[in-house]
Amino acid sequence: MSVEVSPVTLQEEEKERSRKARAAMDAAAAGPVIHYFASALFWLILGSVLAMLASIKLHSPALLDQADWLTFGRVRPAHLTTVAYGWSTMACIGVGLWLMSRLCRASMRHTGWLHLSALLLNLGNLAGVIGILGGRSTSIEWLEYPIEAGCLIAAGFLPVMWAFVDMARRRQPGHIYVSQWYLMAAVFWFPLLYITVQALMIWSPVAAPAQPPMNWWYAHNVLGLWFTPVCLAAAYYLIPKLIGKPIHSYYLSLVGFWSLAFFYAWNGMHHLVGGPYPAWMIGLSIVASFMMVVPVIAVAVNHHFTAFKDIGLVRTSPTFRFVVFATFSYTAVSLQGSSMAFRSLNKVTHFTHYTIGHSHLGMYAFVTMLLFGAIYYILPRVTGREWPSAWLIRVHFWCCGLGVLYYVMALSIGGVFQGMWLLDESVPFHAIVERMLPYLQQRSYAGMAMTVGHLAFITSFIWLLLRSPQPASRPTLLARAI
Amino acid sequence: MHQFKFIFLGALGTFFSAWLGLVLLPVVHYGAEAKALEPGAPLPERELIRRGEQVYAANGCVYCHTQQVRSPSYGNDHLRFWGERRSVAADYENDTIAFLGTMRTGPDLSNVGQRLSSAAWHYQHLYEPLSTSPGSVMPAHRFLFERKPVENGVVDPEAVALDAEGNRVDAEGYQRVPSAEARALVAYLLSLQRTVTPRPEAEEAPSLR
Repeated sequence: MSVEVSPVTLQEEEKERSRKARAAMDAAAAGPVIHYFASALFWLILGSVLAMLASIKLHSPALLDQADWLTFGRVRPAHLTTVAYGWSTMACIGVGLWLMSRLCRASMRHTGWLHLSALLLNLGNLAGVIGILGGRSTSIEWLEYPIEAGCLIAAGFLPVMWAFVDMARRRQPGHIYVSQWYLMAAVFWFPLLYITVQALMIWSPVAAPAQPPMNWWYAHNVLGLWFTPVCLAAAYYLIPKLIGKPIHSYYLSLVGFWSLAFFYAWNGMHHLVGGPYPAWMIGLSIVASFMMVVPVIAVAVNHHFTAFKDIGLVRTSPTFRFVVFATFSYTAVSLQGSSMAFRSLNKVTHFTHYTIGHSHLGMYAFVTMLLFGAIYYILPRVTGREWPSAWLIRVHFWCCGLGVLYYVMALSIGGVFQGMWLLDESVPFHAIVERMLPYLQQRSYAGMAMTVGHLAFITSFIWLLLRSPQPASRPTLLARAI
Repeated sequence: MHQFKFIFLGALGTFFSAWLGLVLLPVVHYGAEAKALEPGAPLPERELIRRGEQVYAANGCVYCHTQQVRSPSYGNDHLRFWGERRSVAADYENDTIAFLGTMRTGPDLSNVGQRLSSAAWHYQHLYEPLSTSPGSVMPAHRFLFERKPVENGVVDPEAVALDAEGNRVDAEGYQRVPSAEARALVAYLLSLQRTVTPRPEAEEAPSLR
């Protein structure tokens, strides 16, 4: 007697096996990923409070001006470092770990080390914020954390590197997807960058004239060689997954990756255009900044052409909506960044709020919005729980999305005026300070909207974790656009 | 691509090329060790300036004030009297950190010690910026001052004015005198005369036109 197995049943079995494998990977990843996301969100909220304080102080300096630990010059670097190393870095690690596990089809092992890593990063950020507010900031931009905080963060990153390498070694044979290239490179680039500058600027500082080039080499590369690759990796994964169609072009993804690796690392000195360094150094960075158009266009074509195969999905899918917003911001911020290296524009915008607008278009409208989208995708999968409220997701998207666009607009317009007035010696300096006040006030309003969005998100997040698991539920969709 | 090692080697190769150019080369060029202050100033003065540099860092002055003068071909810093020549890297060789800055919410401070050479002005400005600079958004640094009773009717010569009339003693008979931190910060500010010394490398290259 023979048992006939129909091809349909085989296919079903294969699907079931694959589903079980994914469930096993997600179960193994759940602990560390939730630990990273929850920590990241804590730092996002603290970072938002510090941001609001710094922003309001810039137009209403009398606010809370009695205490030394709340002075503008301490609150501002505390904002930057908590959102960079608390929120963005920890969220990037959570997203990166989960993507790596799924793409290598390898379960995370020894997750105790990853919990330890999250703990060290949290302690590092805590020590850093206390250090800055307590009057021990280094005042080196992007590296304000005092020495002990930097050591904790550097040590906390090592288990993450190890976990990535471990998953890469156990991967299923075959082609390596573009997201994995970005993730593997980024997980080495970040510690190399961070430990280099910690050693040469904080543990044993080199002569002062040699510091600014390495300061901006780091501060620019941490964006392009850490946050950007992790977020591009997530976009390369999520867009095709959500619309169920492959990425537009394999060759363009190769061009995008290698040209980013090649040109980005040389960009940093454009922060010192017009500054006290030899022309060849700054000229090289200007050229490299312009060359960034190559990876940006390659990635833009790939992301946008793929997304437009089913762009209507932005109406219903929370992840897709955030990711599409973020990828468009990436294209915009990168082209803007290249243009800002040009002498004629740089002369106007160099020392103005235009640069702050640009950095928020990058770190917020691109990186943060993409991380939000990725968390909307990943968290239900690792917890087996769905997002509790479509309304909260809509509030989150519109407050943050419109908020950041308004933020960037206010500072870009104000920044260009500020630059033109600075170049016109007939405008006295105090007049520029006064004329900038309305733009800075608008920025505070935009920041408030973004903070409301963050509160909606953390409410969703906590509510989701408190729910009981619903194994066979349907995803929470937005149902309507606004 | 089927192998991680190509990605790995490529990513490290591109990374270290820039590392050599933008990290190692400046270190070789400008020296690996922080230099001591030039021997001109007496030792206690030098230590005070170093301490002031730390107060400047701790309170984040760098987020609103640059310390770099751009060349006349690149803006009009000279017309705002921020410096007579452009800054060069060697101008920072006596510092621990080069506070070049990236934002001009406030004016450039490269030569503030030359432009505003009165310690009393700086104390007053730090205590209440609006009293010396109308329209300023600089935070008041009252936490850098100590509240002390007036003894034997003698007001400390460094006590700051507390109101528009210039009264230096409040209703309860107290004055505000600069703390050790404020003294160090002002000593540092007064030492900022970066582009006073002529330097050959600051001369503009002959125009190609």
